[in-house]
Amino acid sequence: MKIDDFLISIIDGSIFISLLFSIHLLCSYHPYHRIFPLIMGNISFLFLAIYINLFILKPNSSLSLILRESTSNSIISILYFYPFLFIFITFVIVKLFFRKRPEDPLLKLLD
Amino acid sequence: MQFWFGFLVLFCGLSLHRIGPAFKRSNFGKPLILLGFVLIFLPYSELSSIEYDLFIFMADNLPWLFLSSSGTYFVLYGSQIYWENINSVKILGILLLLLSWVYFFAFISKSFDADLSLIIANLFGMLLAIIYLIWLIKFIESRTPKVAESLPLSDSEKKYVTSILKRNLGGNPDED
Repeated sequence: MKIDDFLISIIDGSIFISLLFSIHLLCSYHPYHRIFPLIMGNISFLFLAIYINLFILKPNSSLSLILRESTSNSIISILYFYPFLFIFITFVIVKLFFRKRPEDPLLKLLD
Repeated sequence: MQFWFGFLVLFCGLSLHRIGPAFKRSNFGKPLILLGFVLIFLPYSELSSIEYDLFIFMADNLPWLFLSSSGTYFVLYGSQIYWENINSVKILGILLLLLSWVYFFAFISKSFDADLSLIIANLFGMLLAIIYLIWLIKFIESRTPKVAESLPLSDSEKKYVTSILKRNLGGNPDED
């Protein structure tokens, strides 16, 4: 395991989130949204991440391959992480299942 | 191509769904999410190794994810607000959650054999990007010029708002 693999993994995650944010910005556009500075900030971050990946860490790769690998690795990572997150969700849901109505002195006045 | 187009449609659907009912295009959210799933899980042609690995991993996890998310949805749906519970729906939800964990430990947990350090590094990269985007949003919002204070309501507007409030709170709308 080389340090390069770690760096590539970190940048893959950043590229994925940046791509998702770009899609979200375009889909959720409305007239009261200052979208232009956000798009510029996000695109510069995305280009920086792609530049490091494409020209420094993986010089023999292509843009298409980098984008596909980033998305694929990130979705797999999320699926790996999901069971840990789901332990927490299960705990909250079970707590919700057993929750009882609290005593409310104001509601008692209605009876 | 269809595989990645499916993801694009899926993410567009999620974003549209999240913008809420004030925007009519949010109605396209759920159909687009469904279309995205169809495009991803019904591949039209041969997939290359990157897409194939992802497809297999997702297809393996799909039953578990479906059971767990539908179980969570049913328990939340059964525990409605104002304490009116639908116990049968809640019990069904808990059973689905239990089934999802059984399915996970019986079939899925064995396939979780990737290098965890790379997974953690990837999640760390996502976290870094999220922190940067939060900072970017805060920075841009702090630079947004403040809108001038709005004018007070006119007499007719005051009368209109008062009548709406009285109507909804049970007062006499003709009063005043």
